[in-house]
Amino acid sequence: MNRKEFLKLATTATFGTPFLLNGLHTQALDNFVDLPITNMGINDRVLVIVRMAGANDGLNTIIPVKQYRDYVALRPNIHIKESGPNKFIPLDSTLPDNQLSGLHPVLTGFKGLYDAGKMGIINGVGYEAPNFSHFRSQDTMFAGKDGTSNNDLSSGMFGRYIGALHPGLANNPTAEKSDPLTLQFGTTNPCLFYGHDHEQGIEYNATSLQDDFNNQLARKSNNTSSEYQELLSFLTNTERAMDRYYNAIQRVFNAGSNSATPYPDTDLAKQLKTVARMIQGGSKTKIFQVTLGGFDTHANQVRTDASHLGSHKIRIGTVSNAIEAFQKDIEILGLADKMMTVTFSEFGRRVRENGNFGTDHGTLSPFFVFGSHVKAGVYGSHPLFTNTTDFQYSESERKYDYRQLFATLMQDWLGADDAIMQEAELSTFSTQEKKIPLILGSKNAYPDHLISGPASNCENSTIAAIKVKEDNGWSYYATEGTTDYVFAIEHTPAGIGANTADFEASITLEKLCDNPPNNVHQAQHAASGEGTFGLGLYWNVVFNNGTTNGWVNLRWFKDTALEASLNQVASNFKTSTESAQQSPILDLHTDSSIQLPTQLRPEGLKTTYTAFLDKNTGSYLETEYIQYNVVNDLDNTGGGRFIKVTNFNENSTSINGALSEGTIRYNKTTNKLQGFTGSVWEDFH
Amino acid sequence: MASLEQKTTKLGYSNAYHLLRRCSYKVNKATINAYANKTPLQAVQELLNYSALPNPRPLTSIGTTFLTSTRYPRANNNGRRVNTGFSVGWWWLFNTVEKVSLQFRLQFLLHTFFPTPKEGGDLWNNYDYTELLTYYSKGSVKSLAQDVIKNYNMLFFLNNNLNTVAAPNDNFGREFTELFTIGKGPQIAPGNYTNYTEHDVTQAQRVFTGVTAKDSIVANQRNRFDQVNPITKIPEGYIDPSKHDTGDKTFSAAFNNRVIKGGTSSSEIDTELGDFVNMIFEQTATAKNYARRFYRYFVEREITDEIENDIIAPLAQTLQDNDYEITPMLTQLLTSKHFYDAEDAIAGDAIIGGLIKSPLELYTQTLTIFEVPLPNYRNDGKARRSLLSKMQRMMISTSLNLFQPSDVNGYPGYSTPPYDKNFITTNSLKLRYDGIIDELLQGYVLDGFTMRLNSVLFVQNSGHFLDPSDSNNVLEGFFDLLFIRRPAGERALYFEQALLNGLSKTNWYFVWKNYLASNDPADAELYLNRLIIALVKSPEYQIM
Repeated sequence: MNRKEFLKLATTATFGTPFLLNGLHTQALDNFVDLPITNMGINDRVLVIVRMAGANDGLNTIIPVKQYRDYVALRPNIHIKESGPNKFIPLDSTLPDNQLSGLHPVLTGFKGLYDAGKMGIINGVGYEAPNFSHFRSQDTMFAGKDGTSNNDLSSGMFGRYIGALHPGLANNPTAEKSDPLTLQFGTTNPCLFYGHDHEQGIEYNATSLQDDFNNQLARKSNNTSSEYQELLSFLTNTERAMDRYYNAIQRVFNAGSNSATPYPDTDLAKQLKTVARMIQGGSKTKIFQVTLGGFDTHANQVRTDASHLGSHKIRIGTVSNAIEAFQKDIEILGLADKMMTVTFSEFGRRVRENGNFGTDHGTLSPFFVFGSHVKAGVYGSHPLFTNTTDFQYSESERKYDYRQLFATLMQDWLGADDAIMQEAELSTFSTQEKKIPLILGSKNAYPDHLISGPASNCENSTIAAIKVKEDNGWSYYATEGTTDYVFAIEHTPAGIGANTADFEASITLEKLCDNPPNNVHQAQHAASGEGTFGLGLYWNVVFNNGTTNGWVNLRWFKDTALEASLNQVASNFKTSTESAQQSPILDLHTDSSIQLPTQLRPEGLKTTYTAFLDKNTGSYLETEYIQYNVVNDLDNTGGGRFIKVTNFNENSTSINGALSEGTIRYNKTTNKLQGFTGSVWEDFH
Repeated sequence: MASLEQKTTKLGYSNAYHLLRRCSYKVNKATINAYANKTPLQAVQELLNYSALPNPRPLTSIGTTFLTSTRYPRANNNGRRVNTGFSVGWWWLFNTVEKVSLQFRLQFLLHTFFPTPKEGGDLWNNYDYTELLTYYSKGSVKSLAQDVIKNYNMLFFLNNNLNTVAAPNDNFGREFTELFTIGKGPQIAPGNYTNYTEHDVTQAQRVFTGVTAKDSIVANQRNRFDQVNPITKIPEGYIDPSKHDTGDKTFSAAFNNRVIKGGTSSSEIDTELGDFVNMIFEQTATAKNYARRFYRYFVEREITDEIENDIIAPLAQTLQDNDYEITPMLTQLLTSKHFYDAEDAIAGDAIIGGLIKSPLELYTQTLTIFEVPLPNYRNDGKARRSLLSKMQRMMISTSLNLFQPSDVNGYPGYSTPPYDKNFITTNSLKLRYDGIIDELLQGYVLDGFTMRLNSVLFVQNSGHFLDPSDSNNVLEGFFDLLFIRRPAGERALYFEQALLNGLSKTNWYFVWKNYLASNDPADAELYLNRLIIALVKSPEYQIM
C-alpha cells in the first residue's frame, strides 16, 4: 500500500468507523501473541527492511579507501573525491586496511549512526550464481536461493519463517491476532513477505499463495477443478481477511503517534514514520518492508560536473536521512530496544563505470544494519577488484551469502529456533560458523531465548462427543456436558448402498501433538472410523452397539477456530499430495468398520483418503452445519462407483471430479441413470 | 488434448459475453445479444474492424483541445492547461468506453510488450508513443519492435540516447532481449540464459549505439517532426553514425554465431538494426514468447505443457508465417473451440471465468454494462476530462497506474506470476469495492454534468429485465448481466436478501407497483441500490 492510500485509509471518514483510542493500545498488546513470554521481550522484536529497488551502487556508497587508485581508474568520471570540499567521509580510522572505508559525503546520517554504535556494514554480499536480471535476482533472493539451476522459487524465506512461527494465521486473522503478520509499503512487486510471485498490498499471505501455487501445479496434471471456482475461492479468502486487516491497521495507526523528531519530506521517510507510529500504536506486525526505487542508475548517476551530486546521491541520501530520523524517533518513543533495520538490494553494480556517468548491473554489494542493539562495525573486508575481463567482482571475492545475514537476523534478533530456521529453509546458514556476530552479546536471542513455533506447546487431549438428541432420522452429538452439536449422523439415509442396520455410536475428538502439521494425512492416526480435522486433530467413530452395512450421511457443525485449522490442513494437504482437491475439509479414513466411500476422486487423492464430493450447508436449531452426502462403492471392490447427487441438472458440471470411465450418476433432470464412457455421459437402457 | 480447431457455430449469449469481456473495454447487453447471433469468426472480424482513429483530440482542463490537428499535433495556446503527465492516458481512456472494439485491448497489450512510463512527463513523447501503439494495433509486433528502438519515450527511459561507442551502456540492449522480445530462458551456465547470453546483451548494446534523440524535450514540441518515421509518420529519434560502434557484431551459439555487419552511415546502421531485429524474430523462442503473452492476456494465466505444445506452438507458427502480424494469429485463437472451452466433454470448467478483471476492465465495463450516461466530448468536454481523470485515479489506487508501469517489466498483473491475480490484495479489493459503485448510485456532479447510475430507470427501461415486479426477474436479470454464472444456494439467497431486505417477494412486488403508480422512485431505489452494491462489491464481479 502506498503512503497516500495508507493515509487515506487512516483518515477518511467514509472508510469504516473511527476507532476510539482509549484502551485499544493495551488491548492490542495484551491479546496478540500466545507464544511464551521471555525475559528479553524477544516476542515483541520487529525487523524493518529498507528495500533499495533497482540495485544500489555499493561502491559509490562505501569507498574502499585502500583500493582508491584502482577505484579511480575503473571509475574515472564517477568516483567520489578523496580530497577537497566534496571528499568522502572517512568512516573509522581504527579499522584494518582491508576494511578502511569512506562514506559518500551525503551519508552524514550513516556516519552519525556508526559513531553512536548503531550501524553495522556487511561487505561483499551476494550469492553463488548471480543473475543480472532485476526480476530474477529479486525472486531468487526473496526465495532464499542461490541462483543455481532448478531453484524452486515458489515460496519466500520470510513467508516460510512467518508460516512456521504462526501456522495458519496468514490471511486468517483472528480477533486476538488481528494484525497482518508482515506489512509492506509501496506497490513494488514482488514483495519480500510472501512467496515471491504474489503481490499483496498490505499483508503477508502465505497460505493463499501456497494454495494458488499448488493449484497451479496440480492443474497441470489434473484438470478437474473449475477455474472459476478456484478464482472465486481465492477472492473470497482475500475478502475475508480484508476487513479484519484493514481494521487492525487503522486501529494501530490511529492509536499511535510519533515523537517531535522531524523527518525529511521524502516518501521513504514517511513510510518509516508510519512504521514507528504503528508500532507505537500497538502493532504486532513482525516484519515491515519499506521501499525506495530508482537505484537502477545506468545513466547520470552522478552529475557530469560534480561526482558527489546526481541521482545516486539523492537516493542514498534519502535512505541515510530517513533512517537517521527513524532511529531517533523510535529511541524517543522507547521502541528502539525492539527494532532492527536492514537494507536490501537485489545486486550491486558493475565495478567499472559505463559511458554514461552510470553503472550497469553487477553482483556484490554492501548491506547495512541499524539499531540500538547492533554490534557496530564493518563485517568482512572490501572485495578486491581483480577481474579485468568483465569488470565484475570475482566469485571468490564474495564475503557473505545474503542468507547468512538474514539467518542471523531471524535467529539472533527475532529469536527463531532451529526448527523454525529449518522451516524457513535457512538452517544451513544459522550455524554459529555461518551467522554474522551482528547482535550485541547481551541482546542475542541465541541460544537461551529462542522462540518455538506453537506446535511445541501442544498438549494431547481427548474429548468425547456423545449422542444428545435424535430428530427426524438424525442423531446429534455434542461434547460431553454441553449441548453444542459437533456432529450429526443420519443412520439410514435413502439411496442405493445406504446403511440399513441399527447401530449406536459415540464420537471422540482427539488432539495429538506428535504429528507434524504438514503430515497429518500421511501419519494417519490408526483407529476405526477415523477422520482427520487437521493439525493433529482427529475424530473417531466408536461403535458401542452394532455396526453399519452401508453409507451414512454426516453433518459437521461449524466452529470458527476449527474451520481455520481445517483450512490450514487443506493447504498442507495440497502441499503434501500435490492434489488439486480444493478443500478436503473433512476427511475419512477408509479402512474403517463404518462403511464409507473410497476412491471417489482417484485422480486427485491418495487411496486412503476420501473427501466428500457432495456438500451442502444448512442449519439445525440455528447452528450452521456442513452436510456431506456420501458416496459408496456398489460392490466394495472399487469397480463401480455410485454418486448420490442432489440438485443435479443436466448441464451441471459440478461433479467433474468423478469423471473416469465407468462412473455412474443419477441425473435428476432426466431421472435417468447415466454412465460415463470416458468421453460422454450415456443413459442406461 | 487441446487444439486450435475452429468453432464455427453461433456464439450464443454466454460465449458472446465471454468474448466481449476479454476483448473490449466497452460491453453492453445490446452488443452481447447482437454478437450471440454471430459465429466466432464474424464476431472477431467485427471486433477487429477498425482503422486509424477518428478520435477527438486530448482535452485540457477547460475542455478544449490543445492540438491543431490529430495527425500533426502542435501545441496551441491551450497547451499550458494540459497535465502533461496524464492527458494522453486520459485521451486513450476516452476511447475505451466509446467503441466496442479489440483495438484498445490490443493497444494496451502492446504497451505491456514495450512498456515505458510517461518519461519526463512530456506530453509529446507520450502522444507519439500512444500513436505508435495505435498504429501497430493492427500491424506487426516485429515492426513495432523495430520502431520502438527509435521511440523517444524508450530512448529516454532506458538511456539508449546516451549509448554510444565511446560510452556504452547496456540498459536497453538487456531489456530488449530479456523482456521485450525473445525473453529469458533458464540460466544454463554462467551468463547463459538459454535463448541468449550476456555476450549477446553486449552485442545488442553495440548494435544500438548511436541511436539517439535530441536532448531537449521542450524543443520536441515543434521540432520533433524534423525526424519522422517514413512509414508511420510518427516522430522518432535519429541515428548519429559518429556515435555508432561500426564493428561487426558476432552473436553466441544461441544465434548460431551469427555475424551482423556493422554499419557506418545512417542507412547502413538502419540496415544493421533491421538485421538484428530479423535475427531476433527469426528465433522460434521469440514467437513463442509473444504467443504466451497473447494467451495469458486473452485466455488464461497458466500455460501447461499441453497448452505449450498444442496451442502456443501453433500460434507461434502462425505469427512467424505472417511476419508477426497480429490479426491472423489472434483470429485463430479467438475463434478456436479452446477459447470457448468447447473442446472437451467438460464444458465450463476452464477459461471462461478464469481471469481477474484488471482495474481498467473493472471500471470501463462497469460504466458501460450499466449504460451510465457519460459526458459528451463536444458539449461537456470539461466534464469528460474530469471523468477520465477520476477513472485514472481510481485505477492508480487499485494498482494499475495507466501508462505508468511500475518498472521496465511493465505491470505485475501482466508480467509476473500469478499475473491477473496480482490485481487482488486485501488492500486493492477493498478499494475496488469502495471505489466506484456507491458514488455512482448516489450521483455526483462533474463540471456541471451529473454522473449517475439511476438503478430504477435502468431496471425499468433498459429492456434487460422481464417484469421487474417479480424479484426473481430482477435477480436473474442482474446475474446474467454482471456475473459469469448464476449463483446458487446460499449465495443466491444472499443476493435475494440484499434486494428483499428480509421481507417477502410480495413486499417487493408492491414496492415496484407503487413506484409505477406514484412515479416516486425513492423506495424502489433503496431496494435496487442495495442489490447492485451487493453485486458489484462481490468476488463474483471481479472475475471475467
